[in-house]
Amino acid sequence: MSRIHKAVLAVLLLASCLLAYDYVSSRQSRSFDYEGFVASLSTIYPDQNLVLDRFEEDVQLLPEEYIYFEAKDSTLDLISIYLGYYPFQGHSESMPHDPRVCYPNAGYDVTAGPDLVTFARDEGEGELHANRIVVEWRTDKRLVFYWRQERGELPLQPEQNLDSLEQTWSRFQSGRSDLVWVRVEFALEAMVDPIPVDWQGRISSTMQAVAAAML
Amino acid sequence: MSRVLTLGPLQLMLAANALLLLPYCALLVSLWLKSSKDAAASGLAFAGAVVFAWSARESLKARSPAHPMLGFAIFLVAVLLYVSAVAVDFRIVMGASAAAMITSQVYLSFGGAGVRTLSAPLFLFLLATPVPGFVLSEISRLLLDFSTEIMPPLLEPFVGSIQVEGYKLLFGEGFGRGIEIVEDCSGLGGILLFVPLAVILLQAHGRVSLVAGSIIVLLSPVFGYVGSLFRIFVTGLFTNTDSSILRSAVMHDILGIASLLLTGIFMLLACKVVGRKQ
Repeated sequence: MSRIHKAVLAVLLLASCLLAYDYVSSRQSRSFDYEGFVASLSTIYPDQNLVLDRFEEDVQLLPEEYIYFEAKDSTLDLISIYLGYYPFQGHSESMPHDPRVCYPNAGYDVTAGPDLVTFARDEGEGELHANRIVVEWRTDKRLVFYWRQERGELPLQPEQNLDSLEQTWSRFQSGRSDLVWVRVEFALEAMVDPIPVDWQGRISSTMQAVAAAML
Repeated sequence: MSRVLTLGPLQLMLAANALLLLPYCALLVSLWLKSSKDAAASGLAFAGAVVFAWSARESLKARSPAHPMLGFAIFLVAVLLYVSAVAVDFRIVMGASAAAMITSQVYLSFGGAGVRTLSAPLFLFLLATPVPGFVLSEISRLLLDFSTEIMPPLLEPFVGSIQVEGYKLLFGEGFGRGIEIVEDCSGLGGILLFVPLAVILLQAHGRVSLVAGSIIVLLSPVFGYVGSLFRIFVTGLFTNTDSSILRSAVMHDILGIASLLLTGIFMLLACKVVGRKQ
């Protein structure tokens, strides 16, 4: 065996040891505190009778862990909250569809957006970001906010769909790559532009509840 | 009498590579077991890489590389990237760096000629890399949007006026019939499958020039897309009939196979047109 091959072999074995050490020392199983999150929802949306609903069983594109709440007999015609949790970074078939695909699949047209909307926070705390679209099916019009949250963080970055270097570095530093997709949907007439301050606060509180529930 | 098993240098290198690539291979296997069409592309590419590498092993001859230090530097960078990517679960970098790692080792052991001999399996190994979900989602959205745009003018001469609702095309009396363009059923979801398939066909077909091969590989998703459009179009025609056979799930599956065959025919024709023996 030549010297260069011995060096290659040494590097391979050293790298394997490093990975084994990383696996044993830092890899933790992640979970999502559904109970805590659901409890937060009843505080954030106190006037809504949110009822847990289920999607069709065995839909391949859904994550293994998700929740979907829809308001019944509430003061608004409609509000629904979907949350899909991925313990590791969602890739390939485990990645949820962009709502711009889901809605047309159900017969809706995306008639506006996606626009980036920002929610102000206290001074020095930065802004929170979400995407907004309007979807229509016959006379049914809905306003949809959606965003991704990673590693228990708030959606501070507008480029949420990109594997940016900054995000990768953050993943490396925190040693975790769990991901949540959130979608909040309203009947359009309930939500005029600009977004009412109380609803801005509720959406921003939802983001904080998601971050808190990513254990 | 006992036999002592000893490992030669090549076996040692293979074992060390297998150990290091274990997390990546475990990830790939878990992906393939989920049986989606995107995962099928990765599985097909990996299987092709193994088969072609095995069949080429006889033609490999140990050679000194022209630039051993450059090869070793690339190898070191690839290992560093791979370890970091595994640590942060960055899968596309995991796949790309694993391919670079193997390629640099082939170069160090068998020289440039070895890399050329194994170019197809190495490329297939690269194609086994899991594609990020947001990329697939964006491709699928574009294809669904485009298909929904072009299908009504193609179908209207045969089924009459069409009402479009999202990705649903409604037609017939009172718009009571219709089809839904769904990525899984139309084949749009598996469009990337045709890239490794094209590489495998080209390798099996014989040596074609690099330019011709690249053209065919780049065009393969387009061929796959035309096959999908064919399936959507014929499904629309059949849905407008009163025949229960034409509207059955069996016919739906037969059309799936037909669209796959059509794509295969396009690829073979492309091999004939642009491919030439060297």
